[in-house]
Amino acid sequence: MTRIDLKDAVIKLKDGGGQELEIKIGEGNLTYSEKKSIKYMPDRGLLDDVVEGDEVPMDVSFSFIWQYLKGPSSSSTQPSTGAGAVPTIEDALKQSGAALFWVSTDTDACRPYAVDIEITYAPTPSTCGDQEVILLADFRYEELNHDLRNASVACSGKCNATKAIINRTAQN
Amino acid sequence: MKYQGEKIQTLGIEVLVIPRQAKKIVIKAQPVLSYDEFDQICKSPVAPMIIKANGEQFTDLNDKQYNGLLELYSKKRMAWMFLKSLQASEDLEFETVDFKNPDTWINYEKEMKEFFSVAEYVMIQRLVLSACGLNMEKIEEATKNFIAGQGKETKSQ
Repeated sequence: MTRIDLKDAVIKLKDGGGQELEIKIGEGNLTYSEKKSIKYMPDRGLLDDVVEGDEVPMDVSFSFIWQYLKGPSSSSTQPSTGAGAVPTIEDALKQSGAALFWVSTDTDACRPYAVDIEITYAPTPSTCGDQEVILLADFRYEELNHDLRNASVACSGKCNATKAIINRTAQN
Repeated sequence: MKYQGEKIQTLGIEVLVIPRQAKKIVIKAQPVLSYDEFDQICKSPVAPMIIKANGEQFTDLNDKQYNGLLELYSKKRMAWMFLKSLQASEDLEFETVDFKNPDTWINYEKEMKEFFSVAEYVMIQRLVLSACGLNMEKIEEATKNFIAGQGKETKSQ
């Protein structure tokens, strides 16, 4: 399991139509877990053949207190979705409120609504390492917990993908 | 609108003739007085809003994506003005520009540069700007003449 320190990171919830919600985290954590099912088939009691089993969706969970939320900038090429309105994290995950017109990232419209989670981690100062962009595609939440006292959100769910897509680039 | 009791004359069509072997290429530029048509097709980008944890809300004018969109919007606006003005040149056709599709407007520059020399292209640009009343040289000259004329009037008094 990969553990991500979110101190210098920005999380984006993205839909399939160019809309996004940027979340700057104050305190919290995000974890994702890639799993693989491997079947071992012994030959007369001795280890022998190995085959890959069914694909397993990635588990994702996060819990944080956000510093700020930033809505999308709109352009003429994007549909009018109440430009300027900032959806909440819940709106973006549930396709409600200001994110009512968000489009699922899943190309199959018959499947439940999903979003992409993109984590951009840029160590500071920039000489400390490359910028890393981690994409957790087609995320659907399964549990959403609210802590009113701490004003925090805790969420867990699965991605319809077996692994994260990671890109590392030199920082400008 | 009137000036000194008379209706102000609208800008006229400006003409440039470029000799090309046996042919003469006639470029006509008409004034573009309204951007309503442009505004209907191409909306100005909107800066993203930021909500802070304490409830404070403001627009982020420094957002990279927004500034990129704004730059593209300005290019499209300029391209549209150029194309709209050159619509007066009936014989001029752009192959990769669809007037209904804003994403294709900026292709005009590439097409023009393939067909015309740099000097010719600059002259066409000036023609369009002049037709649209954006020729600063002409405006400055007129302003200088006006001020010089005022000076003479004061001396003669």
